[in-house]
Amino acid sequence: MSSEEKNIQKVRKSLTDAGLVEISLDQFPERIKEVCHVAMGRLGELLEHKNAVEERQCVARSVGTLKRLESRVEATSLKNKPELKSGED
Amino acid sequence: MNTTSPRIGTETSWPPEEGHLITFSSTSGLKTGVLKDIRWGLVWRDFILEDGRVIPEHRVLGCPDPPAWRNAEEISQDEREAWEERLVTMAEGGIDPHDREQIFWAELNQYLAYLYLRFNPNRTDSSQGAARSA
Repeated sequence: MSSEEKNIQKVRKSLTDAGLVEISLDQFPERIKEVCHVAMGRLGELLEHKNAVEERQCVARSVGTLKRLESRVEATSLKNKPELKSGED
Repeated sequence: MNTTSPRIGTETSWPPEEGHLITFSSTSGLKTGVLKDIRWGLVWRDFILEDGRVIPEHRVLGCPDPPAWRNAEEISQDEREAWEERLVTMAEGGIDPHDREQIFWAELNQYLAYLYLRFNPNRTDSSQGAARSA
């Protein structure tokens, strides 16, 4: 097996362990939160480095996108589970 | 469905060509569809079927193991931003909560995988993926 194939296997295992290769429909809200948490962690790291402005903007934009997607996906999940919707609050 | 399409799964050539009947795994077992197009996503390739379903390459029978994946570092800012805008537009346009093979879920899955590879604290150069080989 080539080193390139080994790298892909390593990456694939990492994503599989994180539950991000095959996300079932009901897992999306949770997975978005988890990835958002990872991105926020990265943003925190970058805030300590004054010269990483471009990367910081990139992460911040991604966090913003994740938040927007999270709210839409959660709204869809709630619509799809009326029994939960009525049971909340 | 075009039942006369060539069937993929036992051939040595990869990827299959447009118009071929492919078999793929799903939560409800094996399914088939006619391949319309193959597109690179942020991490892996998606197989677009004639009926609009989007199937990741690694779920298609006959896919090499490991499949070709992209390196997260090779994604340009323009490509990432275009992907983000498309996702938000699709989300705001309405999401089908029942169809796992809808393009929105396929692209969201790749976006989450890409961000995780790009930003996770344990990343190393060797864990960033490999250059696509196909």
